[in-house]
Amino acid sequence: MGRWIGLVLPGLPQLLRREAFKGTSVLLLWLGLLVVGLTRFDRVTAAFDGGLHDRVALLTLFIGLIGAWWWSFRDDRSHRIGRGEVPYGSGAGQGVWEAFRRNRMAVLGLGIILTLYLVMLLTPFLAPFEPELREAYQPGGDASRILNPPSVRNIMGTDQYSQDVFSRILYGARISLSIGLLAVGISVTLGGLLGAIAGYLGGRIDWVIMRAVDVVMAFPKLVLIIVIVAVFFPASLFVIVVALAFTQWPFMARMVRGEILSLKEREFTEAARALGFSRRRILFRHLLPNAVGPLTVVAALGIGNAIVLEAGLSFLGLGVQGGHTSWGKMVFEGRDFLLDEWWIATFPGLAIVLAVLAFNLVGDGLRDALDPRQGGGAGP
Amino acid sequence: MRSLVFRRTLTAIPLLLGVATLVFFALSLAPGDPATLFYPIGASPEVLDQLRRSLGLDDPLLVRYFKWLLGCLTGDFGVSLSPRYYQLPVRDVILGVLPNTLLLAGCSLFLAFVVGSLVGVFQATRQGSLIDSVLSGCTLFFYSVPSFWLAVMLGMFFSVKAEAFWGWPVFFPASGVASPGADSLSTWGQVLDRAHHLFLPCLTLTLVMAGGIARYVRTSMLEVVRQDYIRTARAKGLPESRVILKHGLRNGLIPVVTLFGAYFPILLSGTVLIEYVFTWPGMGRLMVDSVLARDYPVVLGGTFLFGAAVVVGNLLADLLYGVVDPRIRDAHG
Repeated sequence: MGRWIGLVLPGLPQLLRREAFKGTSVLLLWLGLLVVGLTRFDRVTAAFDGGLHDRVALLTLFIGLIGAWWWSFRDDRSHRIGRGEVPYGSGAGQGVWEAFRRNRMAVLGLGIILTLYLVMLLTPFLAPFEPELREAYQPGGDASRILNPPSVRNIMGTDQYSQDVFSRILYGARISLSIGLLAVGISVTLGGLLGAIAGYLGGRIDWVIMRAVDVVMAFPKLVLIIVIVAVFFPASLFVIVVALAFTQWPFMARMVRGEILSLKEREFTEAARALGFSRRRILFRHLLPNAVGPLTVVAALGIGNAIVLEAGLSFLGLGVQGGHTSWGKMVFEGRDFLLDEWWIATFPGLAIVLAVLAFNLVGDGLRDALDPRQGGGAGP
Repeated sequence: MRSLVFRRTLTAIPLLLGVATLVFFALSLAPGDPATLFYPIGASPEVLDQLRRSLGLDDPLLVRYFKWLLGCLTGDFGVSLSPRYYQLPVRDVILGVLPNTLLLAGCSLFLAFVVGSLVGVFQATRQGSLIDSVLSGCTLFFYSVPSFWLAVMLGMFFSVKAEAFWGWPVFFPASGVASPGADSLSTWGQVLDRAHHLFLPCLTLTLVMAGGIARYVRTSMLEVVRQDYIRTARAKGLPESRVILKHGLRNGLIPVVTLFGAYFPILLSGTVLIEYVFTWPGMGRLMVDSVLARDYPVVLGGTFLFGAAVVVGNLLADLLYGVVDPRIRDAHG
């Protein structure tokens, strides 16, 4: 009986083992998804024939529900067999994870990030209204729906077109959150590769790459992005992502190069070379995996930075063109209503702060976990 | 020391060349013909040709590139294409707004370092206390907050609301550099009026930067407090204030000089948004307006100037580091 208890309710075995944090988070996740699925049952069933976003949301819901159950069961089983908490993973990475877990603020940040992305994926089920629904302008619409203060019906109020601010923030998360992730994904790959090549090969190639890094870093990021956007003016999502990645890669390259330079002198590299491994194998199998840790710190801080930059760009009217709403654009639109309708500009801004804060907390937590000697604190 | 100055200056020159090159080729990719911006659609081809010749647009790319490099040296960036500054030299357009940006950026940079260092040192001396945690929360908030949103919020409280409800004790204008009719004021009146307008933009930029600086200074001071020479200073019976101020502060603040270089680009990015929010007629606002008006010569010149400012700022930070830390100076001979 005991070993099947994980199938009764996700998180229950963990709670019975008095692992309150693990148990409650899994249980809350599962219950939350269940509540969403049940209260929005009509939308869930309609999503089967819906567009891409609807189907993604549907997939997220099912994977979340089954995944929480499955994870809880597996975790319980591996615990009973006695393989400890984490049944996989290398020694070094596990030490970092343990150190990270002890940092409460970092775990809080990670929780916020996961929640934000989950909410972003589930937006079609969560949003109370369509983002472009202008009730006051519908045939037979209610004109009093314009500029409503926060209430039970519109928890963050409505704007001058009677659109629900909360729903718009949920839909705006798509642009704001995915751009940060995409841009940093590109810059980590590109910058990490170039930095590794520069550090490992040295010589003329190193010189050329690092001068390019210096030149790009000489520009204030926002100015450089504005110029790139100006060149391709009505900017698509693709242009914005590439522009953001272009301003970020030098930071990644410089960091990875420094790591590779010091790793190159270590004994294990010497040993790999003595064994006659090819240079490519040494670089990709021995050096780069050891530089991944510090790279995650720069990446986490970089995502936060990219979200702020994108918001600033949208605020200036140079962001993604077209009907897409984004948090920066919403702050801009709310500027004209500051005297009495403060909610229009305030809540999207708070959403940006929350996302950026979470990434900064995780970045700091990772840094401390990787290098406990350094103590808590932020670089520039 | 002199050789340090010489060598660092030498490395800055190719960097400036790279900056000028990147800007030029990035904008030469821009589609569209600048000549058509000048005249309405339907202007005769002869007129457009003549304009292209006079602007030098019919030259091959490489010729234009070398002309541009020469222009960067002499400060001649061509003429503006925007109807607003009709055929005015870009240099004059930029010089017209540069003082405003320098005033805003200079005040904010200075205040941010003063406030950030004070808060950081204060936190380090009270590590682990309640006030340290509260201040850590505040600095983390200002470190993460988007500057333009903070500007909008501060504008809402200190300007829009304060103006509407006279009960508020403070009112600061949220747009422009001077009140209408400020010219008729006395000299001191004009200075006060300028300071009054400077307050909100400067406060925003200061807060945004001071958050990061305070976090850095706190870490740096905590590192210093753990050093042996601090223990020695305490062991020989010096009062705590003297230990911190004389032995701790001097070493804890050295890394702050390197931050100066790192914060220069952040400051300039910040001015772009802040000037836009507070309609402060400076470089940042000029850049945004020029991009929207497709005034490429001004964008070109402005971007080059921003890049050059960062290169020079980094150079100064490097040299300053050599001045305050003898170890660096001696290492480079």
